[in-house]
Amino acid sequence: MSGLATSARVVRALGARSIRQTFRRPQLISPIIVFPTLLLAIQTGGAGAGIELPGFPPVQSFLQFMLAGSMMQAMMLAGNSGGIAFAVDIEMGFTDRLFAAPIPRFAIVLGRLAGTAALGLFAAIWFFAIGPGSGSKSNTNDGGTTINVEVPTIAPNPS
Amino acid sequence: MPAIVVERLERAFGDVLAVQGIDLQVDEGEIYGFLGPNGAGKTTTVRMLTTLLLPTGGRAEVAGCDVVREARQVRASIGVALQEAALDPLMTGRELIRLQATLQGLPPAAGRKRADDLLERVDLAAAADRRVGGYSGGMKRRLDLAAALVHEPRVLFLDEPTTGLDPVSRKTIWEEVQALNEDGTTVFLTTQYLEEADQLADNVGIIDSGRIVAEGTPEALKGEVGHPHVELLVGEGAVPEAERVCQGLGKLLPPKDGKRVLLEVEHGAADIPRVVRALDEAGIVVESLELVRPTLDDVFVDKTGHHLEREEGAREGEGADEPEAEAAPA
Repeated sequence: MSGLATSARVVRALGARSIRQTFRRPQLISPIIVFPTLLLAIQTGGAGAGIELPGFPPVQSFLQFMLAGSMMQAMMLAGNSGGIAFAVDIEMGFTDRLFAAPIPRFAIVLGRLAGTAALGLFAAIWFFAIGPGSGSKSNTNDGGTTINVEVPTIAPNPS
Repeated sequence: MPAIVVERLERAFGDVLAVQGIDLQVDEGEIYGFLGPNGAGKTTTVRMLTTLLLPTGGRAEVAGCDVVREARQVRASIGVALQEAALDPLMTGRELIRLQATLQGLPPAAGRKRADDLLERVDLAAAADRRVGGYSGGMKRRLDLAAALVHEPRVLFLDEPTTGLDPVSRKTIWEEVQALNEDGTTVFLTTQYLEEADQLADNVGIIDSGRIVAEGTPEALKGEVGHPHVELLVGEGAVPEAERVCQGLGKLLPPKDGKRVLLEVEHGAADIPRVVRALDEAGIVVESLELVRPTLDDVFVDKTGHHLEREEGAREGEGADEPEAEAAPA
């Protein structure tokens, strides 16, 4: 098996571990899904009439207005969760296991980033699902939707 | 060909020289016991040999490859089970072994099969799908050992594999290490337990304050500090007469109390019948007799001037069973 294929398998395995780790540790998944969703529900319920104010952007509903903000909040917190999980790995010595293996260092970093990106994607899909489900209409075309999904996937990683 | 060659290896952390120019050689198929108290430099040495820490001086080769210039080849040849079992408590045992197989480049099908075999071997098949966080200390050590074996390494590094384990779990690990060695694996084992080094190691290196103070087979090291002695309990009043009888049979040692005679004998157990016969002929009743052999602790005392086990006991009592202070992250 070529080195690149082996590295790709390592990235996939570490990414999968990262996702499992997040879903098995409630304190990591809560900031990505639960808190932004709750905040979205509270703000939409409490400030829905705000769209009637003069000068408010032309939106169909307050939910439509807030959705992008909630997505970005979820993305940032996904990045934070990824960073915390990596710090925990270092503290408990799990990274020593990785560093003692004959794999390139970039595969370790990419594995973690892939996991965080997948969580970002999951959050984007979640908000795309609850948005229209709660009556918000998307005004964008297929290309725009693709960008809307891809940006959250990439966005958490720099943090 | 030696499996491990270390020449003048050094590691400094700021002003502290944790490992001070050590030399050692471990032959293929050998169990090498690296014995020393906490903070002696054992873990730092292991971390350098496993490529997790760069040396600041000297050189080392593992499986014929330089640990600095050919780190990746070294990593492909070694298995590592570090002091603090580096296990993710959220993963299951099976997931961890499969991940390790992937890290070592095994194809998926081979990795799955190897994971099943290893879990069976370390008696964790029944618990394989449980999360590691729920495992006992002994189970975690066995899982860590299994993970280190996934690619059938030529050289296995075990950093204090039995620290904190109960006697039964400790024995299980010892048996596994011996079985691995019988299969041809070279084992570099660090320990602070004298008995462990004595039982398992073909050769022992004793490290204290970053320097190797003694090296050799356990028997040879113990031989260096003196012969075994016989401890005879003869009761009060009989000691002077017993000492007179024993004078020609070996070297009398200073008495512990007024009831015992301590006699150093050259040939150990083989000298006992001679001693017993002589005392019997002199009409001296021996209430008990014990052959006391030199231990590795005697070797440690002889070389460093202080006890190893007493020191460890005191430190554990203080709750100082933390990882070694000098074991800096990679």
